Amino acid sequence: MNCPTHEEWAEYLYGEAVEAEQEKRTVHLRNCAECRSLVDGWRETMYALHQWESESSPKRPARSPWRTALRWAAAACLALGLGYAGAALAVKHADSRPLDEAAVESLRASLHDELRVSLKKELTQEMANEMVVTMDAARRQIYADLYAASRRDMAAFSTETQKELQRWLDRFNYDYIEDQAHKESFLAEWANSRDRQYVQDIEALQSGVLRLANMRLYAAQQE
Amino acid sequence: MAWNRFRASDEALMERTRDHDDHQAFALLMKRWEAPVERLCYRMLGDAHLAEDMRQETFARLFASRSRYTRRAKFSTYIWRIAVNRCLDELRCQRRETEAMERMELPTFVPPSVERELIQREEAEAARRAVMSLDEKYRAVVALRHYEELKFREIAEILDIPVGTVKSRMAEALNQLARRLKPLLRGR
Repeated sequence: MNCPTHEEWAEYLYGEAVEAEQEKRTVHLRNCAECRSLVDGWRETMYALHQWESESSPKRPARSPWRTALRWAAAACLALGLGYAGAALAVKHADSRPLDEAAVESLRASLHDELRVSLKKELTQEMANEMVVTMDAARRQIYADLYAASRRDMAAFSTETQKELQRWLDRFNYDYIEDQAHKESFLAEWANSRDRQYVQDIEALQSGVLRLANMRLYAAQQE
Repeated sequence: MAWNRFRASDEALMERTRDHDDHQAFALLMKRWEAPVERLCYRMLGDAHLAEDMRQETFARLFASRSRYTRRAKFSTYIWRIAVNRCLDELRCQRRETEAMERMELPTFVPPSVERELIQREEAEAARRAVMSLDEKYRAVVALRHYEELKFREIAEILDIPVGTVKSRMAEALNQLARRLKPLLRGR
């Protein structure tokens, strides 16, 4: 079977093949398991790419390894304290009830060992995990510092361009305000001139009517 | 007909900027293009703050080189090209820093396993990492085709390479991304 190339499948998936080709490749997909597997994989990949939204995901703050150690120390104190309280209670009741001191001691020792092993294991694991996170954070911090230093250098180089842009934007703002003021004064001037013209027109009309009336009166008197 | 900057094409605005230093025309171009440019920079660099810086630098560069603008190509091609090149410069600069760091014999850092990363982080973070792991030439094509939805033909113009090369880069990028995102896709 003559399979389309990877480039042609890319074109197909982004809908850029001509219509006839698009249909031909759809038919091909139905009949070719190999191409179907490739295209399905790419479709899923394209879907996964859409999951990356514009916002950057917040970083998990690194937790101090000492917090874990303190947590375990508190738990150990509590467990040992309880063991001690149990033993003290047993001693208190020694008069009324015979107590097997060896059994209490053995229980305390076994609890102590068990707790110690468990603590060591958990703490080692936690410390290893926290070490990775701390190293990661330290490395990121070093990169960030270096990057910030390089940005400062670059900023110094581009200061002139930025200044020019700023001057230019200031000019834009200034011109905009000036434009507005100019427009307003122009409108006011225009309104005044219209008013003046209106008064002149009315006066001209009045004098014309008066003149006409006088002429009519004069003509009537002549007749 | 009277000049109306609000109806003017991007090309006409850029010519006004070039010929008359029309700052209002340039301000309008910035308004039209700053969001798409910042989006592209974010896809190329994977860092929102850096993307903002790159957006500003792209416009600073566009303004500084206004006298060289010609109408041979669409304005969109012109500004995309400036933004892509600016991001590629930035990535090269970052790579040099990383290489320098590696030569400094820092304690060996063992990254957490890919599987653990994928479990702990969101799918989006996995996708971002996958895109960031691509070589710049593939990443530029993915950013422009997949995220900015430009045609292969337009991308060829922006990157100044044949259309066939753009398609083969896209195919290779999808192959690499599919391999990297496989654990995530399998777990869905």
